[in-house]
Amino acid sequence: MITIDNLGFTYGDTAGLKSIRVDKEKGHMLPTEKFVLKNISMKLEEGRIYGLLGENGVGKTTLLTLLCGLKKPQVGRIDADGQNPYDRTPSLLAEQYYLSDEVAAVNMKAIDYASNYGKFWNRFDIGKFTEIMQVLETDAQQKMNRMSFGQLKKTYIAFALACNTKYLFMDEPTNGLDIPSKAQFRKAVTKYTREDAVILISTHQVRDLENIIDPIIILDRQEVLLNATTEKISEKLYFDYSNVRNANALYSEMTPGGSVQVSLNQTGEESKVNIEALFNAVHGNKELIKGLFNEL
Amino acid sequence: MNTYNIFNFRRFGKYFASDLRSCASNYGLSMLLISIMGVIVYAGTVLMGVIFNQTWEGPELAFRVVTFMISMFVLIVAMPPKCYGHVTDKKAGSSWLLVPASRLEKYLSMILMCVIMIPVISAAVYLCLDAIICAIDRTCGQSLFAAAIGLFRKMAEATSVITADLMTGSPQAIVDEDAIISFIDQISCPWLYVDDFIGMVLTFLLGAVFFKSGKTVKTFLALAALSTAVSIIASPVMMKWGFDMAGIMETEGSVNGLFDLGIVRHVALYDTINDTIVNIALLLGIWFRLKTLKH
Repeated sequence: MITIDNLGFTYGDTAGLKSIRVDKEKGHMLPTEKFVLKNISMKLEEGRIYGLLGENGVGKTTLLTLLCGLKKPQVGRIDADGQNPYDRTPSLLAEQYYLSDEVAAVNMKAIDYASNYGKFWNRFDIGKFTEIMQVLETDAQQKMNRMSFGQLKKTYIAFALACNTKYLFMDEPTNGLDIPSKAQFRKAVTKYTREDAVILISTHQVRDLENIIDPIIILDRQEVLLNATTEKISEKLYFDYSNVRNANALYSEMTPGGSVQVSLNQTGEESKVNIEALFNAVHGNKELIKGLFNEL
Repeated sequence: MNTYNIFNFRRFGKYFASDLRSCASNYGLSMLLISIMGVIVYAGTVLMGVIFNQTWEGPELAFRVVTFMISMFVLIVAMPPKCYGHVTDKKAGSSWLLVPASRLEKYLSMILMCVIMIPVISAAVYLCLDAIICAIDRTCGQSLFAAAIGLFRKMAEATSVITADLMTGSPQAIVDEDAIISFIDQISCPWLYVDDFIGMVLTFLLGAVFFKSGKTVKTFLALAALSTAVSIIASPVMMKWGFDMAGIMETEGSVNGLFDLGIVRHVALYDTINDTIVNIALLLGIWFRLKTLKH
């Protein structure tokens, strides 16, 4: 399990120093407005695929890089199985994989890259790598620096899944993938990951991952607006797909192709969560939603 | 933190092998080109001779020495950014940082690769090819390897008379033969040059992991700036030594007195201490850079 406790982060050391003030009463360092992330606290539990959503620049990538140890938290702490990710200990690194939004075109064949680096992850399976590469219709014998961006992304996705790690962080994994590959990606994520894995996927393309992510985390400027399972969301909010306008809807999108309205669930009736509509509803009613889900 | 997370021999072996493979894919072709530079220069020289002078003549020893030196310099300057420059890159550097090996293992592998593996392999291939060329074509004369051994042997076996001839041109003026022989012995120790070489490699390696772009150029500029600063700071001491030496030579009418100066009597020791301090500083610089690397 990963525990994030009062996490704060800012870019630039000077800015960082300026943006920390000391709470004289408690003796704690507190972040001010210049922080990208501020007072972020949550628990990421095993066996779940978390969807991390947010507008551009709210700190989704920053949060992922903090979780995998590429950055050092300036305030608060992250605990992954009793270890601080920034220590980058081999034992923790072997249990996690971070798939960046931008991937490097290495001067190696995909299969050579996998066999050269895969051996550092204890549960890496080269057979699984080639299988996923076939599923994603990418040639493992092709040199990575001659691949298109989409092919390269699929190679790294195959590598990430073949590592079979407990913690898997993916930043915009479906960016650059063609339409069939997005469906293959969804299948691969559900089929090739461990039952006890903690998977955190950051994305803007919510429709690509609608059926696999649960719980959903929505980040806003510096804070978490929502962190809840789809079950809890449908308990609290009702997603109406009819064409009858609801005057009390928190968000409504009335289009000839398919309407969706989000309102408070006052009847207890269950409905299928539409993540895009949820995101818009949360953004339009920040305080209400925070209050609603903090009650849980 | 247990020792498994600090250093593990098995994991280090795996990491080193993987690092070697990665370096070979990133820098293998350039390394090969540098290693066969002797053959290219030989072929070029012979071809030019045949075309313009209608004679078959290989490159002379002096020319081959210069080519070898230039090739090794290019290797030292270009190899660290090619092999490890990616650690500062967001994409490749993130992957490198998150490979499950300890910081110490990655650091040691980097140092061994740059200081020993790549230079030794390149130099060995270069010298072997040169020896083969010289064995086949007698117009080239002595091979580089044979010439280097011969040079060190001559230096080690130098007599005071030869030394006197070299230093002053008047053998009669030499009194302290032992001091001169000791001096020649000291400067003929290969380690004196090896630690300089290590220092150069580490300098460019530090530049490769420190600067995000223009790694080689910025390293040269930093070196130039540092040299200027050191020269300015050390100039009073250097001037004092210069005046002392000039005074001694003027008083005694020979270079004998110079060998009484501590700096000359223990030249190898002073040089080794100086180079060791610089190399340790460079090693620490690389370590702390890797330790604080973030993406």
